Amino acid sequence: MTTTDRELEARLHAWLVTREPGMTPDSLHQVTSVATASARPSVWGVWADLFGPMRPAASVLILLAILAALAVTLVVLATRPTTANNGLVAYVVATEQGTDIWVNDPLGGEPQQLTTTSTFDETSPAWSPDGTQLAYLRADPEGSTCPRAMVRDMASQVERMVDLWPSSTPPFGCELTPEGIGWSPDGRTVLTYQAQGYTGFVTVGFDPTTGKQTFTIAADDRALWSPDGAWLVEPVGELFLVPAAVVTLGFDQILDALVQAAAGGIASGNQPQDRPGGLRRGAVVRRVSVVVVTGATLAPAAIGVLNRA
Amino acid sequence: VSATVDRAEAGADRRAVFATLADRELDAAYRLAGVILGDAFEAEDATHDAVVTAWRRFGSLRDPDRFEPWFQRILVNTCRDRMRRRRRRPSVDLAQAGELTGGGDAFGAADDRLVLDAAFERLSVDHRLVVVLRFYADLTVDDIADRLGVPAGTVKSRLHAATQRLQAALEGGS
Repeated sequence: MTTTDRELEARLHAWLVTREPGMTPDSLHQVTSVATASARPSVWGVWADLFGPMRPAASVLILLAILAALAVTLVVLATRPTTANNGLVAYVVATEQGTDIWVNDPLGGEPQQLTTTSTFDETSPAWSPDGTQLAYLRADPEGSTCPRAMVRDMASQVERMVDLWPSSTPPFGCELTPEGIGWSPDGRTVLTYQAQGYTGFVTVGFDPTTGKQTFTIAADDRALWSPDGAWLVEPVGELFLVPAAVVTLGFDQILDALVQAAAGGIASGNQPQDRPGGLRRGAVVRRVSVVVVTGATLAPAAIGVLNRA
Repeated sequence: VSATVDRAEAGADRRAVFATLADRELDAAYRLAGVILGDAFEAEDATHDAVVTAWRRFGSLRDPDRFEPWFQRILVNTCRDRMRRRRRRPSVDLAQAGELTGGGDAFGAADDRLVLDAAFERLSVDHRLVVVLRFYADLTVDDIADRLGVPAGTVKSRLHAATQRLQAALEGGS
């Protein structure tokens, strides 16, 4: 039985409508909330008094210098706010010159510009669970260097690179570099999510205090933590590289873990601070991989793979 | 001095204009990205990235009345880049998963959805985009060509190929 063009169009339209997501997240509306960093009105008020009597050439030079400064600070777009448990808010400020991360205490104080690099874009701020460290991504908008994942200790302001290639150029160019970053619920591990060409993601765990890699997994989707940090779940995909023994778990055990995680809400994902919503799974779930992470060392003590295909 | 003050005021005006225009398009953009990408979280990221890109390029938009197609072009390009880079399987909320196989009198629609979702994922990125822009966004061939930056003839051939494959999937699956 064939389908007429009109019937087909109607069926395609009806199907495409089912792919619509739900309500627009509030966080997206914040993207368009434009803010000025500093209007500096006093500059204009005192300009004539201070520089009015100057010779035209000097006045023009000073004017140009101020214009250059204003080009950086006048108009910005503040996005991706994320709140630490101590109340501090980190957010990305985009100007036409690039993006930087700012931190502010909503209860008082002036906004502080945390990153000041002029040649790099910093994005995706993610607080550690205790609010003492901030992870973020750093990328060169010109693409001459690869994106890297950074962790900053807020007390000392010491910045550490957590990456597969901490001090050298990645061996595969920029293909396998961080695109997302998150924390384990106990703050002992930083996850970086790295696109792996056309096959999916590589999720890498790091000890944030040393930058030392703790485990690597690869799958079609991004790893999600259970609320207690005991399980790292790959809803779709399979493990390809593990540093510890592999133990096959029963389906019931893994199902229990998934149900437990879904019931409690998943604490981590691509943007863990933005997405407490819950566990996702592939439309066609055939394999479920679960990494058991021990609380003490964060090294996978056992890795179970369930293959239902 | 007055020129500098004018510039400051112009910057504030420009900011306000952008915020108004972008916010007006946000819901439609999020839905379109969701339909293209098949994933609410991906749609959120893509829409966010498109807004930031649009803000950075806002100076190049001569006519604010053209904001909608201009922004839609940025959004579609953002979605295309994401699909090309990731090629990942679509994911759904667990809460929605049951609806995929939902019963009642919606068997036919559910069948279509499963069959078409699978067939859609097998299409090339360019074919997926023309399908969504034509049958969901209801754009003309010329408008699709404008959004994708390709000739209208290319859009027609892509549409033809894509709909044939979807039709074959439907007829094979029913």
